[in-house]
Amino acid sequence: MQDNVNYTNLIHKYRQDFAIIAGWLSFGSKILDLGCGDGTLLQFLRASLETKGYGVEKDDANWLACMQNGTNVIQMDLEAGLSGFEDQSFDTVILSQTLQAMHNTEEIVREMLRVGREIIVTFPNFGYWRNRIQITTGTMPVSKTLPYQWYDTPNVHLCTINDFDKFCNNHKITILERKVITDGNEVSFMPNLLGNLAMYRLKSTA
Amino acid sequence: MLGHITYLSDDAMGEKFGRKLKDKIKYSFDVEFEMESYLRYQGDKFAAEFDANTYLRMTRALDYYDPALEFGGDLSNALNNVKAEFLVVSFTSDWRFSPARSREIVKALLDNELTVSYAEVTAAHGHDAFLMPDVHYHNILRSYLSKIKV
Repeated sequence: MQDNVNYTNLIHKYRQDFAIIAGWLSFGSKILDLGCGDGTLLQFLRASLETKGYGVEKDDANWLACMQNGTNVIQMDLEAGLSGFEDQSFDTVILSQTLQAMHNTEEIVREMLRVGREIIVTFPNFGYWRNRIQITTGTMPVSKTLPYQWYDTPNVHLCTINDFDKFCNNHKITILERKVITDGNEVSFMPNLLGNLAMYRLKSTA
Repeated sequence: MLGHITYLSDDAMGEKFGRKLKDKIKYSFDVEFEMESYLRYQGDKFAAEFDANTYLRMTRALDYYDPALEFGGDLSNALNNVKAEFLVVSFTSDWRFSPARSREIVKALLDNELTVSYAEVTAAHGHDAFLMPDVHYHNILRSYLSKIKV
């Protein structure tokens, strides 16, 4: 299918996390994007790397947006796992800023590792200093990356970079690469304190 | 009448008729419930419009239809040479052709890396939902059809 790509739009929508994800994929690879939203990431990857594959999205409006911009999209609830997708049938399975909203965290990561040869997981780092300051002043953090009030949030499993490193270690997951960014800039010094968005490229430990 | 029930959903039948009686309980075998009356009416209408033999033939044709038969019962194999692009839509309350069946089709298409989108429309009207003016469902069809290039 020929995409009708509007390049002005793409440049406008350019995001550092998308660029990092693109850097972790090879040309023409087969991608599954879980919780793909309106399909912006897949559109970007199709335009830059001619990737193929599918998005998975639960929400009706997002599903429709995908359909309209030419993204193949499967409507299903990730909490039920990835039955319907064969073992190791994708080069990379992506879960972009959705992990923190999952109830069955272990199950979805296990399923991603089953379906994809590699997986990419990104999430807002709860250990970011601005969040810590808000906690020390006695309130739950509300920010650009965590824009929800505690009583009205889809986020149920927030974690820090240290937490996720430990999670990988405990679940026999190999961290192939980790990048941490704040406002589009990479952070290498004290990432768990200074980093806002954590990005991991992972695979099963053989 | 039995067939007709499968086009509806529990909720739709409950909402429309529930346990409503035509009159009061008579402990007879006549039509006493509104639901019964509706099904009798549909049954009579059906019998007048369809030749019973046609219906038997059609039912048999459905029974015989097995796209995977020549492919060792494997639907993924059956769809191996397909060139078309697909849109699969199911309705959550449809138990005549349930979302699980549609997901089987989707899986076979995914196995072949074909172009496919799948929507599971939240609907209360069972199999008949495809006849109802559901906004999401109509948006799906409109978007998909408008993208088709000849």
